Amino acid sequence: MKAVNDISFSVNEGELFGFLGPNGAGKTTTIKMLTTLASITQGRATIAGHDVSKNPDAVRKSIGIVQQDLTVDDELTGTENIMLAASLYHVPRAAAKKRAEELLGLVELKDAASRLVRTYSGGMRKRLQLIVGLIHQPRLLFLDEPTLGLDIQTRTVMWDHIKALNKEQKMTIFMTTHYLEEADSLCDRIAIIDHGKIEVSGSPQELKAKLGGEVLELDVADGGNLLGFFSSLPGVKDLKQKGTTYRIKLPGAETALPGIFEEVSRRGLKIGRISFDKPSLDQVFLEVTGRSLRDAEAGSEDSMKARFTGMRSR
Amino acid sequence: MLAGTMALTVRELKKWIRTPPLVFTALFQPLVWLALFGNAFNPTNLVPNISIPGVNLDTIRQSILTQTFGGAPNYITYLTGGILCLILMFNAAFSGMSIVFDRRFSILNALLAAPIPRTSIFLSRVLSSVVKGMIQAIVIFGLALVIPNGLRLAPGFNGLDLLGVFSVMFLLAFGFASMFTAISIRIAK
Repeated sequence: MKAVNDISFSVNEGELFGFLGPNGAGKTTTIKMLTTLASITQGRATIAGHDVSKNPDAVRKSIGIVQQDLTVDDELTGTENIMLAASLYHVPRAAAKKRAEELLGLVELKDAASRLVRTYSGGMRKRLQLIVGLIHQPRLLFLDEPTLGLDIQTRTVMWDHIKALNKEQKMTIFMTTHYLEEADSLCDRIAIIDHGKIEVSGSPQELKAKLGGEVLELDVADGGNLLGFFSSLPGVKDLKQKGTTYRIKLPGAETALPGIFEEVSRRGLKIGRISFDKPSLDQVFLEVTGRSLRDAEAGSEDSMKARFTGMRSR
Repeated sequence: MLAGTMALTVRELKKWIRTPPLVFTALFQPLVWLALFGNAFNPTNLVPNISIPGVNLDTIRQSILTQTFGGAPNYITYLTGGILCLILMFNAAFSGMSIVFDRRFSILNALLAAPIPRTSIFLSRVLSSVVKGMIQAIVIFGLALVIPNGLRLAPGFNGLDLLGVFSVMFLLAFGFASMFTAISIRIAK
């Protein structure tokens, strides 16, 4: 079976790259190949200048991984989990201790650091897992669905952490997610993969713009004919009139709105109602991948994992 | 190699010590074998405690030990060697379990993606199992020495002999643990 077929993309240094796709599209396989967990049968991948197949150890040293499953150890304390990762990544003890302190402060886990992870809530485990992946200051961080199953508060906090890592610590981040608003607000650039192929890639703004821009609906109370004016707006795509309601598809409508208001009031007309629909990444996603549900085959191990993960994130 | 192996071995042992039921059963079971079987199965008990004129029953008891049990001074002395082997073997049988669970929780993936030789993941399970087995065996060895009519060391048994005993136990533990860890990696795919 081919999970991934002939894909090609690059992530620039310092970029926050989002890798999206329906279940079974090939996201996990791609991450596994890039993190040296699955072998590449054809083609080549380079991370931080090292070839993934030829020099896996150098790649492993330069990347950090935060998996989708909760991989922190229940029977160890927060600090012990971090220090274990430190020794696996050859971070000297003294330096690791100092950095552990910093990281624990960063995700506000200082008070819980010496408690067994068993006593942590799901959100705390996820935050701990994030910093465990950061102990060796990787150049590239892989985040596989970092906010899966978290409540809104924790998710927002995770977003802030991810943003801070990217902007303040200049860390390159490769993340997958099913929450498109998350990709929209965090990622500099995204790629959508389906059936093992990359369908589109670009910045969220670019992809949304491809849909044809914002949809503006105006209800002009005293009638009047504004069709001519609207069709003269730059970039207008679709224009419909129904009674006193105008429906306009207009890229960059945000900047065009003030002009529209001015023109309408110059003509002495009144706007009764206005609605403004921004194209969302969800629409882009559905357009690219279609609406059919994916029942990817999951092994028994996967369902076991899902059950355990569910249990553990409670 | 060494740093990774050590860190992972310490992790295994920490988890073991923090689960008292595991430590308890590990010591309780061989103790039952030793105390219960050591008395109940003692074949010299089969010779009844009566007096038959002209027959020395003690000689019969002694000759049972000499002929069947290789000249052990008493039954528990004979039994202890076997129990120590069983402890090491059964303990080793569980040495691969933690890899099975680590795989299930995806922790194994995290370890496989770390810049350590993969041998050290295997070796850590074997070493932690050896340490657990040796602790159990040494405790039982000590207990066998102090229980009444227990383990009796041969005259002239010295430190070097003790070292020999422990070396054999270590090799047994290491061999069994390696074997069972390898098996559980293979069959629990």
